Amino acid sequence: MKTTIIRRPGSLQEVAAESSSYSEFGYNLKDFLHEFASAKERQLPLGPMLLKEPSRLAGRFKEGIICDAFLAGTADYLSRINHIESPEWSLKEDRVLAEPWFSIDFRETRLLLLRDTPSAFKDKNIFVFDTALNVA
Amino acid sequence: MTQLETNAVGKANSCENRGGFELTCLKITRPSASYLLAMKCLACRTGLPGYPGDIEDIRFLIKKMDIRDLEQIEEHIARFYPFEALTTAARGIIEKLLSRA
Repeated sequence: MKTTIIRRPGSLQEVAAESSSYSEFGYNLKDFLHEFASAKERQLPLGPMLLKEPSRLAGRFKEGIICDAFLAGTADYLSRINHIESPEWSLKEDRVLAEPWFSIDFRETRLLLLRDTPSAFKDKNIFVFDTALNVA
Repeated sequence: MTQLETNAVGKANSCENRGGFELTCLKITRPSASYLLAMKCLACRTGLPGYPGDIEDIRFLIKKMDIRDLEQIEEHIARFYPFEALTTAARGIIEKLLSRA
């Protein structure tokens, strides 16, 4: 009998490789964040989890361009807060959104997002609270 | 949200019930709606692209538990997390959800 092993993505590159829809991307990214937190707790090297450039999702599904920018923001943000050099791919100009993306669409909350979004995400025209990346 | 969490939210009821079911060697408990509401409101994580975060769960619990105002939510929080309070962002988001409920 053949056994299929299911495991969480261990890098941002794997998040993109294993995502064929917007929803799949969301769950893969969340799983990666769990994996990253676990590696940090076990004092494993974090750089390799961010280093390799993920394949582009823009052509794969409608919201792919948002995901491409979000991956770059995540790599840059996690690098900064963990005192790692941001991978080169995460600073590419073509991973910056032309239109801003807000993680919640309430007008009042947008003002807080404009103020409180970490600069690694603001640089990509993405507005999200850092707590959205927390895992329990 | 994991499958277990999905089930926990889906089966939450408005009374304080920590019941579950027990097998010979496996005991499964589930959190009450009150506890879930308190926990989700304190975390109040907004979504990621393609991932809903806590907002949809809070919306569901507000409706399920017939919550009308922020004070009620703060009472639930105080039961389980007496030394914690909602952040400014969480208050704003929850007030908006309440106004749309």
